Amino acid sequence: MFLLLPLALVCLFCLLPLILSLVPTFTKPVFGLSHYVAFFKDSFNRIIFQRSLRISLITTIICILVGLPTSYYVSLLGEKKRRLLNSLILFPLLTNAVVRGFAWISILGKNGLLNQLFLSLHLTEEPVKLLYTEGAIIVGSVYLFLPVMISTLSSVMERIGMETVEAAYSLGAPPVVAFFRIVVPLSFSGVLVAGVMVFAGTISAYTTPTLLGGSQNMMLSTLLYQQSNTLADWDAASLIAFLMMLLSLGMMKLFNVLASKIDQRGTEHV
Amino acid sequence: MYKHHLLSVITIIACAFLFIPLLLIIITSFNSADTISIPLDGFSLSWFGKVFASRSLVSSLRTSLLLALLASCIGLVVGLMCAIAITRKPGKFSSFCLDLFLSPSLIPGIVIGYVLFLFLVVRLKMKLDYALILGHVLVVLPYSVRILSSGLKECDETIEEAAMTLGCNRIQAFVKVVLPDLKPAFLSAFMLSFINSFNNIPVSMYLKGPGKNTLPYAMMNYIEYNYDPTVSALSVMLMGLTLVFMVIIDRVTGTGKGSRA
Repeated sequence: MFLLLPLALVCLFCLLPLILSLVPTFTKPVFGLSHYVAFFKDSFNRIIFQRSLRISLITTIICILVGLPTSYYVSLLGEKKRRLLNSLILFPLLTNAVVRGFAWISILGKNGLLNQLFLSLHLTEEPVKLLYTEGAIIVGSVYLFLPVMISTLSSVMERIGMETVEAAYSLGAPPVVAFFRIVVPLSFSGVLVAGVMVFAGTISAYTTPTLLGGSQNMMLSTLLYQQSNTLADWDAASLIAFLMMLLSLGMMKLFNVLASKIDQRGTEHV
Repeated sequence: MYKHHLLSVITIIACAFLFIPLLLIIITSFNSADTISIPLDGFSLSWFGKVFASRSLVSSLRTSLLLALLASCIGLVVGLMCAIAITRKPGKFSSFCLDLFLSPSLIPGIVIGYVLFLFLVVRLKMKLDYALILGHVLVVLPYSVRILSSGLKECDETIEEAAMTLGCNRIQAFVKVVLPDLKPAFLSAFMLSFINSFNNIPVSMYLKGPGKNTLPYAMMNYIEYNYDPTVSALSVMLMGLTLVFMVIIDRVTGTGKGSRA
């Protein structure tokens, strides 16, 4: 009985609207993928689609490369230090995305802190264009999702336990070898799960590409908002919404299945 | 002894990358110059005063606080109902329902905002205020469901049964025995819901009416037209709020674990 109201709420106001707006992109006016074919024929759309994929992929890779060693290091610390560092890493995660975007505007902007530094050191004669580039979106997205990566991987590291690493050391493995032969393979499925979270988050983010990318560097999310709010083109907007769902939810599902497959294989070996 | 210097270097870089931007905002918000620059011209609190002088920022702050409060409270009530139903009757259907209730957190926020706008506002002609609250309830529901159901799972069901054999009816037993035990879960669910509703942009930007603004969106508008430390000062205040919330959550969950152990 308790389930009825919440179920109705989620079904009526979340699933139903989703279905009602996304299904017509396949059925109206004729059944098929004609809308999607038309969407990808347009080079403007194609560029935005590719840019979204590229930015999300690079962000994910950077987050993994930085997050994996960091979370491993954090897991080696003592209880007290670890808790402190974990909550410090969580802090940006709970801070408003506009605040975080604004921080990077004030650093990367034309009169920003980085350009002030460059000019005062006479590294450049004129301000360098850093803001409103793809690089700025990537930096902002890494900033947004690195805490997600680190905190997810930290719990993975705790599950691994350090006994295996200790064993490797006592058998004479140098630290680098132990990291790549023990920690990386054991945390691989966790990396997949966290990675796809970062990927999906980057591709769905709206604030960061708007603030740091400007209008020349649109992503799918900013295109969706433009189509729906400025142009009131519901067909195009619904199509983009479906693509975003596919890229985030679809990838998540795929990679979670992949990760659990890998975990199973691991236990079989043991 | 297992630490390698390369590992520490990467960790230090990661932490510096995470904190320096926020630190720079804090420093520049106290600058007396009217641009964001370092070194500081002089110390001044005038930008903090400027925040409260801006009518659009103050009124949007009020909207955001009220909205977050309402959405979190509704989310808690609905979330509690979900949690009770799911934990008391575990099974395939329950875990399916749990996935369903958590699903709004997986769907891109901007897609939720868009489809709700299309369905509630364009199709059903619902009043924007209600649509906005509803949208935010959907945003916060996953947090309260997840936290409350794991809190309920930890509760000892035998205590509730004991209360019932001692003469309480079902509802009394729940209110007198289970609810007090759930207090830490309630508090952290409320805090997380509040923060997430307060920080939300994609859902608000579709469902806020004309002339009404939530704080994050008003900040975005402000940044578009002004580049001065007012937003830095406001950001510092918001960070302070976040810090207070984090400390409360930490205390609550920390002591909760302590008393149980």
